[in-house]
Amino acid sequence: MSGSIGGISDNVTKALHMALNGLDARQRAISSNLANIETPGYHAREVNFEDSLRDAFADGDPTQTLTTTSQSLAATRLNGNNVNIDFEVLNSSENVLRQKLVVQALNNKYSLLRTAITG
Amino acid sequence: MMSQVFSTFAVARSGMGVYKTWLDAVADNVANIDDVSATSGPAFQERFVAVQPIIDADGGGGGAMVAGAQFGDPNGRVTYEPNHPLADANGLVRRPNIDLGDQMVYMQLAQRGYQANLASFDKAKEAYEAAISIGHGS
Repeated sequence: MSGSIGGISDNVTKALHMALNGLDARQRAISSNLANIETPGYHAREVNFEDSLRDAFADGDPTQTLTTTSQSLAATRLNGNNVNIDFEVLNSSENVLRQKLVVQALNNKYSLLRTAITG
Repeated sequence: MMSQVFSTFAVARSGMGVYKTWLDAVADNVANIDDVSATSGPAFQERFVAVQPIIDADGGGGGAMVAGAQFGDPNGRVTYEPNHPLADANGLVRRPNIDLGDQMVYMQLAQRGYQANLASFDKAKEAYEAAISIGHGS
């Protein structure tokens, strides 16, 4: 992969792609946490990909990024559930903004390409 | 991670389904709160909704689902109403043992839960719309 056609899919584009994948998984985890606000014994899911993406990018191959899901260690309520609704709702908004940011960055990359192609 | 397109919608929808079922159960309980039955049979039993999480293959959350219904005490409250047509020889009838205050609290919880999942659906839609716009930038 690292030696592919340089201009069209460089490491930054690949990193943005992996970031979008990770953010999408996080959006899904947040939705699941909200679907289970009152489910007895449910532990909130947390998604992490940033650390792995940083390492993969430093190593020169962002496609090696791993997106991992873990369970929240926060204290549980009486029914064994530890989903924190305000945290999830805020996180959901922030996560959508992050996705838009990544999309915008991708569009900017493609816009450069378009300029290069069409002149 | 499920790689189906727009899979976050399914997660939000599963949550809305759970809370709607809960609202239905509460409505059923409130509608039947004053049911009277003969002591020879059971009283109307309070409906409880059992919920369990949907777990993806990688341990991540995939939403929530209704696992089944559970029912309250069939004995209910036995009250003395000798003039009631269903009263037994001792003048007793059964009424369901349902607390209206509890039901009101459950109704709020279910309604807010439904709203939270609807908001989560909206947020997912916003994110997907952004993703769809990739490549359409000026």
